[in-house]
Amino acid sequence: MKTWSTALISAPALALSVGLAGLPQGGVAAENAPSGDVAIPAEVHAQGEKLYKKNCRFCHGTKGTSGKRLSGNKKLVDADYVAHVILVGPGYMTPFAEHLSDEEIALIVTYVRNAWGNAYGPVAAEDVAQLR
Amino acid sequence: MKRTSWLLATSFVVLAAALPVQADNIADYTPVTAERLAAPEEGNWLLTRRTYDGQAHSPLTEITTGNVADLKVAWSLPTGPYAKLSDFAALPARPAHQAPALVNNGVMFMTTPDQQIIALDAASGEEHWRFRHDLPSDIIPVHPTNRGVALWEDKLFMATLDAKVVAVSAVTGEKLWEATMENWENGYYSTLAPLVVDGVVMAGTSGGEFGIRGFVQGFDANTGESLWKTYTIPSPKEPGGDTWPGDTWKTGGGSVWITGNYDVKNGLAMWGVGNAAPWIGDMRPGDNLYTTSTIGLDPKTGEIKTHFQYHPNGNWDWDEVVPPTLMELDGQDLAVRFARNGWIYKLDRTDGQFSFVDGRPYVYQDVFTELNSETGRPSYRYEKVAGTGKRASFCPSAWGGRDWPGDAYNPGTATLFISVNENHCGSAEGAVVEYEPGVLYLGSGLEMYPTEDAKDHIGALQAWDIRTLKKKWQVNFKMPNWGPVLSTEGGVVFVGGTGDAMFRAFDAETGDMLWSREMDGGIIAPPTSFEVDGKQYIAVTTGWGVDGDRFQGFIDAGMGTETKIPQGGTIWVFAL
Repeated sequence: MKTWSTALISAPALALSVGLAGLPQGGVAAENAPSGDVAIPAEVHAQGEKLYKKNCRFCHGTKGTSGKRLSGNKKLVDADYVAHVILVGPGYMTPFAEHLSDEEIALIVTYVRNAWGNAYGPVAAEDVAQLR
Repeated sequence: MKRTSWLLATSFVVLAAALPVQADNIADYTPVTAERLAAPEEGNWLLTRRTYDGQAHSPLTEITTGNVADLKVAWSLPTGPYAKLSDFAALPARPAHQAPALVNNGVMFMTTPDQQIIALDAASGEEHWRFRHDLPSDIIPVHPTNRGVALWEDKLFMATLDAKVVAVSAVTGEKLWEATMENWENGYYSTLAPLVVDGVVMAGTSGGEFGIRGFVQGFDANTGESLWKTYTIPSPKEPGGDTWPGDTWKTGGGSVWITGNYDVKNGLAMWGVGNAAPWIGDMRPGDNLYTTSTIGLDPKTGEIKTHFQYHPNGNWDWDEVVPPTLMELDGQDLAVRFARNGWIYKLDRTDGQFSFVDGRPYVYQDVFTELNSETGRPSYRYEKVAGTGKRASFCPSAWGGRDWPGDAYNPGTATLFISVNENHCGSAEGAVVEYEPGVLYLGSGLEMYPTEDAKDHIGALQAWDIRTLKKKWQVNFKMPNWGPVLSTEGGVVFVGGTGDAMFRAFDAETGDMLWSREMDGGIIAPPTSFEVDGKQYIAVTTGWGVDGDRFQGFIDAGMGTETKIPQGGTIWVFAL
């Protein structure tokens, strides 16, 4: 069983975020806009937001302030951990492994890691696939 | 924690359009009147727990302790095919069958988690008609279940997961009217069977996890017109309003999700009220009336005439939604409740006013030091009360000593039978949570773990002498017990409830197991008994899911086990 370290960041995500640092951000609604200086393409952010609202909002809230708090949650720095949680559904959370694709989970992980003041960079579908 | 998706584990067929109509009108349907509900024929089961007092006791005597071992299957019927319950990617729990089979002179009614009503011939299982209420495609049912219909005249009434009440003709299965109780998008939904008294259809709302403001609502049985709506959380100017600070009453919870009982003598509908929202008490200092209480309402006006609160300023998600079981014992009008909080409460209901008589624990509970001998108000151990940033552990866990499965009472022997769960404890730590309509509003996590003694047993069936509040016997089960109980005059007690999918019969006096059968799925629906042409039948529907699954999930996580419980979804009828 993998142990989760908050310092662990998947290599491709780190490479992508370093590569994109400094690029201007896309135009999305201000309150949920990706934060910090890591640029998430607007389309990616919007898709992730849509998936988040459909699958996650009713437990975690529009601003990530309900249920297990996502806004300002330092564990989000570990992209593999976030993807793992979505796949497995700890506690009374629904396990989404059978119901969401790697692409969809990657979009959600990217969204929650970069909304509401979070700024941890994107995640790729391959990273999610590796965890299954 | 692994959990098998029900979508894969069962062969559900998606219905693309309306159900194929093979409807057959019921000939000679006997209208259900106030007189029949107050004193039903021995062979009929017209209410969720047979009688308005909630005793769930059948007066039939053909099946006895001497012959119950000869019970055989008379007929069975899968309740599918099912409609797709939600477009949502994954339901938080498997849909469960939690409805009792009601029987009115040979006509049986059953409901399903996908909001169907099925009318059948009670003796043969032949279907008369099916009705299905369609749900909005983007609904996410957190408790995908339905607990049955209510009967009145030639109509049936069902409450729905999108917070409506629908009326259907018992004869034809056609919809007569539909009334909206609240906006489901704000977290309101309904799973209980309504209760009808003198032409008033009463229903309550779920959603205490979503910061709703709970209520019971009364509708005109003929038209669906709303007659009254009584909130379980008073506004500041209403009686009890001073038990909530600031605006916390607006999102105070107080759900009502189990069918009430009716005190015929005093004309009071007794409804159980769930936990306050959010879960942590210091986020809403005060007694928080009428959460974790029983309220007695006038069915004509909805006015709250009496109440009893089991534990004020609740912290442990101990919903007190099951109404007290009513009885007259040695000339005293009593209301007896085995609370989720782990204590038995014996209340007096003389002249329709609750007063505390006596109480004691029925499972290990480490939160209360005592109940006040006059009022029954508990005193709490400080270290067992979680707070914002303050962690606490407590026993039993949020699921309580008993949850919603109904108890049964044998009035002849003054014995009450109840399914309980022991050897599980919980922890919580409060964290500030923002309210958002339709979003979970808990204020803490949900943690539960089995104790060392859980290796011996978790579930149990208990029998209590209500005169003395002494336990007569207890049968233990390794697995949790989520079974509503049926008591019969033949001296046999029936219960399912365990994840091994067993349906069992016990000697009411001794607790000896007299008969058992492995079913196609775990049972969390109430068994009922009825008679057709002089023959006694026992009916129960298999269909595991919802809380049974969740509770088992936590037990598995704590014990490092993986328990697969067959889902079922079949009406079973037994006879000698």
